Amino acid sequence: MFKKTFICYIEIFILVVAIFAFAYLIHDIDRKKGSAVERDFSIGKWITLGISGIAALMMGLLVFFFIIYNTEEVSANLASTPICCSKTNSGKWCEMDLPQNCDKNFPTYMSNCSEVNEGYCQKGCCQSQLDGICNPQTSNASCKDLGGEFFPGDSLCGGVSCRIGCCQLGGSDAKLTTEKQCRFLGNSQNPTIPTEWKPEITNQLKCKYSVQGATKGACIFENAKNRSCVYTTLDDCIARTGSETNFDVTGVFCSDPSLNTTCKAHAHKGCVENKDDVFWFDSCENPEDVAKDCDLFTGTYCGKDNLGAYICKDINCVINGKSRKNGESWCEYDNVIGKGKDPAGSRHIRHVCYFGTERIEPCADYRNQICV
Amino acid sequence: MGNKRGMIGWNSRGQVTIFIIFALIIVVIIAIIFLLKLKTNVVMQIINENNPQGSIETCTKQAVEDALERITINGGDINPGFSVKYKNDDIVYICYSGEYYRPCAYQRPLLVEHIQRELVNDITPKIEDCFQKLKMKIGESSSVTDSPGIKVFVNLFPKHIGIKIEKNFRIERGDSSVSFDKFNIVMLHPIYDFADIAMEVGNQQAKYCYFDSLGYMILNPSFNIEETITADNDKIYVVTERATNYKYQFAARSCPLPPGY
Repeated sequence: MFKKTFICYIEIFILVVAIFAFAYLIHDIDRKKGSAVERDFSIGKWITLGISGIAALMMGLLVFFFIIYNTEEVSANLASTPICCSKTNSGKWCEMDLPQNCDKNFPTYMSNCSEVNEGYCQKGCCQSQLDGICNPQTSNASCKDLGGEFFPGDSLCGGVSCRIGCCQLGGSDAKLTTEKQCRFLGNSQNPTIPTEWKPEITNQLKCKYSVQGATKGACIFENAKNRSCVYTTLDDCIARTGSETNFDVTGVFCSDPSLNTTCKAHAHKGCVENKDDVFWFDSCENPEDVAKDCDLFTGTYCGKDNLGAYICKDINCVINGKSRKNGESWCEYDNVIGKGKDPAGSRHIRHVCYFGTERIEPCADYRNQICV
Repeated sequence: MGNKRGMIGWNSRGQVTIFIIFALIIVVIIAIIFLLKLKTNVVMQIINENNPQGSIETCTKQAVEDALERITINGGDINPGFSVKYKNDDIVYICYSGEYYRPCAYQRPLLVEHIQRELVNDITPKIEDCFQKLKMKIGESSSVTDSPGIKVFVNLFPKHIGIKIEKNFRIERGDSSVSFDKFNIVMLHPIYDFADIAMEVGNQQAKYCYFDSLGYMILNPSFNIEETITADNDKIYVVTERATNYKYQFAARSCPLPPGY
């Protein structure tokens, strides 16, 4: 890396210096032409100047080719085409690389690694022992090298341990995971938060909206000078303060006067991650009640206006005077399409309205993808 | 006539002077840029002998941030293996198919474990260096004994990273002494979530040759996914966490179609 940087700076330096060197050379000739010395400027001097110029050019070319020859790109081009290495010298398994980069102690294949299904590159399903995520079409060696469990006959991960279900985390968040991943997510966030895995729910949308917010309340704690508060669940309160006596079961906000905390109600508005609505926040940065009721599926979401105020932002789009819903997509064509009438070199383009902005997604070259 | 010649001579000398001045200015500017760049590359390590844990934490975080920057650009590798060149970055394929119409095979399975390993390999020598610097700094006023070698563990979790360093480190000053054997550091970073999304994309591409990024984003608005298809059927994904603007990019190539299909 440093070598490349060094070469780059040297090249820039030569370029800059060359500009002035050549300018000076031309100027020198020009000066001699315009002065009295012009009469004495014999053929011999012209030859000397020409030889000097050619020598300088040769030197420049020599340096240029020396630098080019020593860069890695050229040496890469000189080598042969990549093959499938069971193991590369850098320790990667079943990866395409140049023959000289393959570990000589392991077999190599002339075909693409994605098509090799034997030995170290036998394909199957790989499940992580850490977080339970399953990866289909994985090579035996790369899975085992990272401590995964390998299932050779099940390349698409249809086995029981990779079955997907709805993981409900603490009653407030949910996503589709394997049973093992659900346990991992529960433990990594807060071990005291109850986690439930429901294999009967396999639809992403149903899963996401299957959870209701867990009962939250004011969790009060005192530090050196004041009586502060966090609005959270009972389990989280116990984890934070070590006692359930600090949790207010009545469900009032931290700013409630009866709790006598330093938090002041409705200090400002803001957004809460993964929530549609605009919320009030108290002065201790706890979200309180809903300030503005937004709805993702009707086209509004918490956001800021041009002045920085939090509003239910319209996430639908108006494109060329036409209204488009959030998530709506439409096609654009270069010319007439279908029945062999697509002009040569034309491409289909998909437009999407997403969160109030238009996204343009060109389909693949050669009309390998079409927009319908 | 004589005056004209004199003027020409003066003009030529003036031109030469201007050329030289410009050349010098440009060379000086380049030198300054070069020096500034070198200076910013130097890992700023705040070593404070009165706060060894804080010093190690700052130094480790710097090393992890540097490693994460490369990992997120390269798609999971510190030094990219089999990759595609895109906008001057070498982006590793999470899933690759070299044959037309065929679904891809995983190139970076268990991405979470893979990134953990990459991080450990990259940061361990840098953390050793942090300890050496700390030892030298403290050694000026106190006596320091430490165990040879170091053990570094990196664990990725949703939205954060846990780093555990095991090393015996004892500082003696006069009659008092302080010992450390474990350093626990927590950093906020969505690298686990990025790896999770990358594997979701890889799984869908390996099974169905398609990933619906729009559908994923509508259900998970915290992340933005940009998908670009190149002429060679490579799909480049750039995932951005909206709240922090952290980015992660990776590539996939599944069920490629021949030109003119």
